[in-house]
Amino acid sequence: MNLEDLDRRDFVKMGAGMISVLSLSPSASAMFKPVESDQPLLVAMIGVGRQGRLILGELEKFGFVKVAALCDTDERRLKSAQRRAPEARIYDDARALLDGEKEVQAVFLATPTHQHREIAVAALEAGRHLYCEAPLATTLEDAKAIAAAAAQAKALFHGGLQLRANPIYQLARSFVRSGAIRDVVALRGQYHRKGSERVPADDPAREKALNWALYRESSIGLPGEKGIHSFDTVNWFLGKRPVAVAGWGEIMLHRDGRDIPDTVHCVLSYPDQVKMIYDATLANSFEGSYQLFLGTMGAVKVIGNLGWLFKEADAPTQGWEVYAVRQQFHKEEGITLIANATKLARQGKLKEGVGLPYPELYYGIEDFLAGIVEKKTETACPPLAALEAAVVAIKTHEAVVQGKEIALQDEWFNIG
Amino acid sequence: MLGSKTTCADLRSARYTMGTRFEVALFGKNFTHLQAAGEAALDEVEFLNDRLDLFKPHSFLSHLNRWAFEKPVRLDPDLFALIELCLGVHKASEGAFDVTVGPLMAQWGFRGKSGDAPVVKTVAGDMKKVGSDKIELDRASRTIRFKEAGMALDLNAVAKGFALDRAADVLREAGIERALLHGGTSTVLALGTPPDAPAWTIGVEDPDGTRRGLLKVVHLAEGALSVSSPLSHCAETAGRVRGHLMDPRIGAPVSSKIRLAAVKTASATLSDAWSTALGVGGIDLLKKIGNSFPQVTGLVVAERSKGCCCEMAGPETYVFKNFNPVEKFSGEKI
Repeated sequence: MNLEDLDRRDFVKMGAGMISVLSLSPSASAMFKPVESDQPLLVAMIGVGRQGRLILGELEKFGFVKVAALCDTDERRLKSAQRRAPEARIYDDARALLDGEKEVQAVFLATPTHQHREIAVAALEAGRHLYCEAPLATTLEDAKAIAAAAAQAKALFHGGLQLRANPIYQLARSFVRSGAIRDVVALRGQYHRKGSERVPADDPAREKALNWALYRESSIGLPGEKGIHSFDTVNWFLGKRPVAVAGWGEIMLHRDGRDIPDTVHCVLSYPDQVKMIYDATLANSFEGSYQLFLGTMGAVKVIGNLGWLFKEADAPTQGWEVYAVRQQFHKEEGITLIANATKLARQGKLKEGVGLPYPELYYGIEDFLAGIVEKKTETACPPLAALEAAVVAIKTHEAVVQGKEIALQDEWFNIG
Repeated sequence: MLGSKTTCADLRSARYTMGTRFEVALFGKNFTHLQAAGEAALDEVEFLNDRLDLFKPHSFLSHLNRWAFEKPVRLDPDLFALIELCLGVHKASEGAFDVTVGPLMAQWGFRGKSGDAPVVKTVAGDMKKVGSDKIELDRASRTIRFKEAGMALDLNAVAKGFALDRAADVLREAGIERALLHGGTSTVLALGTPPDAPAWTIGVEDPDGTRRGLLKVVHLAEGALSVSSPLSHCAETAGRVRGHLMDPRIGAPVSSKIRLAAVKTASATLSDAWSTALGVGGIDLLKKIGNSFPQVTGLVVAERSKGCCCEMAGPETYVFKNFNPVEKFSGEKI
């Protein structure tokens, strides 16, 4: 069972040793009201494949948002998306959308990664707020170009690293940065999900376009598409970026003509001799995805909308721990990280606050929309953060493909 | 409940989701394409589970239940159509099927709460929050609103069927013409026919475990079959084991008079909904429906009373076509 899939039904089944009521109650959920606005916001969705569909699903939760236009070069996908947003006008060319939809204020970009640059720069130069899915691009040159356009634009930019707006990750980061686990000595991250990730295409002409993620000519593979979220989480928590990256990759299961490895092992070397071990595989689902920070006084583990603090036996006890909600995992006992814990504890409802009321993707989107509504100058994922994560992801993939270590140059991380 | 005898599939793909095991059996020559199509179909089921799972606080359904009394909540066209369908079955079944049973399911211990039997006052209180007539759907804005605070939609009675229908759409879009899909063996959907027969052979198990053989064999070609059995999931409240099928009309689980209701029709969503409705309403409902929904066939197994309320004479099985006429079924064994 993957911990990220646990819900109340599973907790009840687990029985002895587990607190039987561990879920987000309606009153706790109500503390997370979606941002609202009196003014309607017209948005466009460019790229309506799998990720585009998920974004459309989250946009439904914001009553003031209207999806005015959809764009995709694949006719079938466009028709499918139009079924879900029947009021939207459809385009097969992004420039035509930007020229034809003057009232659209914000663009969500979810095309294949290697196609981001031209559209992202055009949208920003046209003065539209831009939510660009991570990673920014598949090459350093493209990533820098997007980051530069975003830094210069007056419009708001979000680089798609949604975990930066996730309340549990924000809470976990505060524990790490405040010294709750003392000195970080090691890091671990993984993405395990069995599946080919292949999009079915009965037409050979569509097959390569739809399955861009499986080929080196168009993809930065698992480090780029999945690992980037782990790499960015570490960068953000520690306030540092790696100095070198190394990796190995193989095709272990899906020998279907792809040339991108379906299983990768990466080592990211951070300052002060701290290393992150990251692995990703499409051949096995054990324990799903998580991020782990190991320190001299404890560990912090985050999985989607859940997080825990595991303390060493010799770690000092804080007063608030007496009231903490704890969960048992075999031999380890974790203190559950709960957003709004202080408020809930005052109401005697701490146990009802486990989890979050919205999926991970929602928080990035809400951060972006709130930034527009509240006229902020920056989102939780500004251009520099997006660029730094993209550089790490691009170079890690390169290391995997070449089977060697790559020292990361400072100049790669500069926008201008 | 259901088992199938099929030609050996060229590829089987399975996944645990919606609290059960979904499986897709595919036929064709291109293994890579079949695998991708099967995964895409199961991805669709998982996507819908994330949206419709009442147990997940971050599902869209939880979001809807959280806010729909305070303000209208916008729905995507598929979910809007699903709720419209549920309202249609609610009306045609004279209230035996109702997706607003959320508060009752929680009260009776089927949604993780304690197993204390609700007191009459509590049930009466919860009944104010139940009733599809308290749902307001606005077609122009494609929104839903609740008229009473504390209402909650529970789509578990149709979620598997709905997911199978959408999964089949994904397979069709991928150019797949033959497939058999099921969700936890209580709902099965056939896409086309098997390569070497005019239909898939599906067995409906006898709800009385002491009998040998199958109750009925159903041949399925491009259609769906759902089976509802009130005692398949139970909860204990006040020392009594009760089946999970809620009768929304009285605010309590149905009595065990209905042993099984099986419905066959073109869509798995509809077969799911009607098998639940008949599991609640039984023979009496069957006799009242008439020709509301054509192309719906099935059978209901009900306990027969000898006249005295305490004495049961064994189960009777009624077969129906287009809900009408109702015929007794001799219960031949296979």
